[in-house]
Amino acid sequence: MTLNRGKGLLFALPWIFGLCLFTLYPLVASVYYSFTHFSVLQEPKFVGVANYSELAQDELFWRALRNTMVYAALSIPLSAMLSLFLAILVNSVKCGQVLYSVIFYIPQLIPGVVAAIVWMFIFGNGLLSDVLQPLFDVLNWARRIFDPDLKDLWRPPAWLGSATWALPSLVLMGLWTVGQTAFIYLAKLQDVPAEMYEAAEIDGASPWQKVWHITLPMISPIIFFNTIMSIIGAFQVFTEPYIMTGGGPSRATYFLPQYIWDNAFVTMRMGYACAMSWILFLVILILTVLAFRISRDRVYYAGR
Amino acid sequence: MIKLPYIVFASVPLLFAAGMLFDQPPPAKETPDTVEITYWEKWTGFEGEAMRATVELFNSKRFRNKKGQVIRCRYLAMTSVNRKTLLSIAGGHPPDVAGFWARETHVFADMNALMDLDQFIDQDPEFDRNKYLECFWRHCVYKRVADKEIKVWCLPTTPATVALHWNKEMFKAAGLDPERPPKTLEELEAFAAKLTKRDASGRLVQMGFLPPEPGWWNWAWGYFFGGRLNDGIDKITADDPKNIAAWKWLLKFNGKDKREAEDLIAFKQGFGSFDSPQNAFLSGKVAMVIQGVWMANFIRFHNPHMKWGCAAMPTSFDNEGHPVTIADMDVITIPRGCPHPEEAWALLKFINSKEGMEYLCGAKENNGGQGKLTPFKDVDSEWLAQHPHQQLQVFIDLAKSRNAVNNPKLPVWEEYQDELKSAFEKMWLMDATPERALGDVQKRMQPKLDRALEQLRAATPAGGRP
Repeated sequence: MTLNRGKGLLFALPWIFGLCLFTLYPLVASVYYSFTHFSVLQEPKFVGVANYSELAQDELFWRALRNTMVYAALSIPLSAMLSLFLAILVNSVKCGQVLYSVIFYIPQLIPGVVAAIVWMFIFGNGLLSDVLQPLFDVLNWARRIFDPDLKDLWRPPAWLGSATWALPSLVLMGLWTVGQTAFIYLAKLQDVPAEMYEAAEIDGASPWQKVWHITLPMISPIIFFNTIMSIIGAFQVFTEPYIMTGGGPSRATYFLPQYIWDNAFVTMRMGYACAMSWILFLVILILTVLAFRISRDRVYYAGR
Repeated sequence: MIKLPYIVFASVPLLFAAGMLFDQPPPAKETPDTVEITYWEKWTGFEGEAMRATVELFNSKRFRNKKGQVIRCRYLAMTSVNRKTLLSIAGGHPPDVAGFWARETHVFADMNALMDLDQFIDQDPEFDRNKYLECFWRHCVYKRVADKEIKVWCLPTTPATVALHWNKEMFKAAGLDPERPPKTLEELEAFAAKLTKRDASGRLVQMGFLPPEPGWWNWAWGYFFGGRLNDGIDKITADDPKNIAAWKWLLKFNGKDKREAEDLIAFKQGFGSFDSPQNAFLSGKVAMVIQGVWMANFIRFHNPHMKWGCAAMPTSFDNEGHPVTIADMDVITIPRGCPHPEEAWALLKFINSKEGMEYLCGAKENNGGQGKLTPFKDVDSEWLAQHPHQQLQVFIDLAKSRNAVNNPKLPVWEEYQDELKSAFEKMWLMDATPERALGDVQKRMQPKLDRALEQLRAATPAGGRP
């Protein structure tokens, strides 16, 4: 046993070493740097909690944090519901399951930067607005019935051009990669024993009751896993806003990761950026712990 | 008995540790006859090739250092050259020469990242500081916050000024004289109105003038109204009445209501990337744009048959024949701690010789080089005649103008620019009046500048590392 442990440790040594050097050391160092004024080129100068107290008064930090929270609050439930819906849909069809899965998964294969540029065209060139225009025409026609002198016609929003719609546009764009999560849901869905559904059918359960009382409890560990992953993902959103809006218009899509990046690598305020990273870490940690707490009695593990 | 795979696995971290412990700069490729220097640059594509060819020209000259070794330069192009160089300086292994943008050099000088070039210039009787046009030389010199005297921190590679470019075909189609650019701001407004078109459904198809396109100089509009962004010492002047007047003028182009302003931003976001045939100016979506001397290259590549002209952007005040332009520049520097400063200086000096600069900026034998102007007062008429940019004289004249301005040399310039960008968007989308938007910038930036100056004064540059 001892020998095996020794050998195991030996084999794991390169990994342990890499972890310590490239993850653990930077992690610990960033705690220290968050208490310093550090521009990379000069020796870090200890400033106590100055960075944190400056953060508390930094309007832009609060703005970025609020934007990030709003993005997370919109994108996490929306993507969870949509991916689950797609997975249940694909699972319920008798033929072509593989084809549908592939179609839903394809967007995941496109690099984030390319997707961002394509979506800039979709929003900017009026492609999406053109698709939605007929819907607005019908709405305006209906409004005219009540108000024949109607002047203020409804139109599709200006998407990324509008400070109100830019953030929801990014959420909308984020939805096109739900194929990945849907894929994981599908794998778990196919794992739910068919006899449970049969038994429910014999008992006269409706399709909705089957989803609510069998499907959801059976796949709850995966829902939980996906939720945690989307919390982390949503709080680290960077590529799409960085490329598509640069944080604009008027900072409507300026998220915390970009503010950290700007401080660390544009204005070289490494200490301040480290302090901000730790705040972001704490936010994610609190939300993850909350998710664990809430899910304790709601996630069903068949093995237990 | 320990088996071979275990030894191999265990040796990986040991090797790493040994490497860290005995860390030394990589040995320069140095023989008794030659010494190799490294040069990191940002350009790719034709601009990169023009610089590579200039470095090859330098190599072919076989310059020698004091020890009599032949200097060879290795050219390496990369993205984010500024960040990578700064990290390499912090790590103690910088290249011998690094190419930056002039607008950030003063920040790096304050960070103690660069060698001052006076030590080389003072010992070099051949080097003449007076040969440079003033607007470009101003970029090279800077008095660091903690210093008492002005020093030289970089030398030009390719300078640029900006001008109003107009599409002659679109002018003709709109019933305007294609050979006559707007001379006043009022004319510019009138021309823009004639050049703006919508389709039957009311959607915008082309704009006469769209101030946020390309949006690279949204911080600079005040200069065309005689405004300034700082007092040159320690005060931010974002809310200078002249800056406010400039932004009020811009509001003439953002539509009649908030929704039209948003549509214009969305219209702009639908433009293709700058270096593509879908560029707003090249594809005829915007008839007049402010662009730099480099625009001619991209017109030549992507729309060679386009008929266009360029002229000074009008100003709100009587400039007495000295139009306003933004003088910007790419520069080369010698990073602090580099292994071969003397040899690096030889490269800087060659590129800043008449031969090197003309070859880089627009020589026929270098495929037209980067197609830009030189930073020198004297322009060789033969060189100018064979230059690929047929309207280069416009940009040379602009560089000679006493109203050729540079970005403010403030330690917080990047943040200031970001604040101005965001304020511009707020103003454009009618979420704030120009007074309010610029007033907010003023309120936010002055304390940031005060704090940065205080920190820099407290730090002694000489005490930095390495």
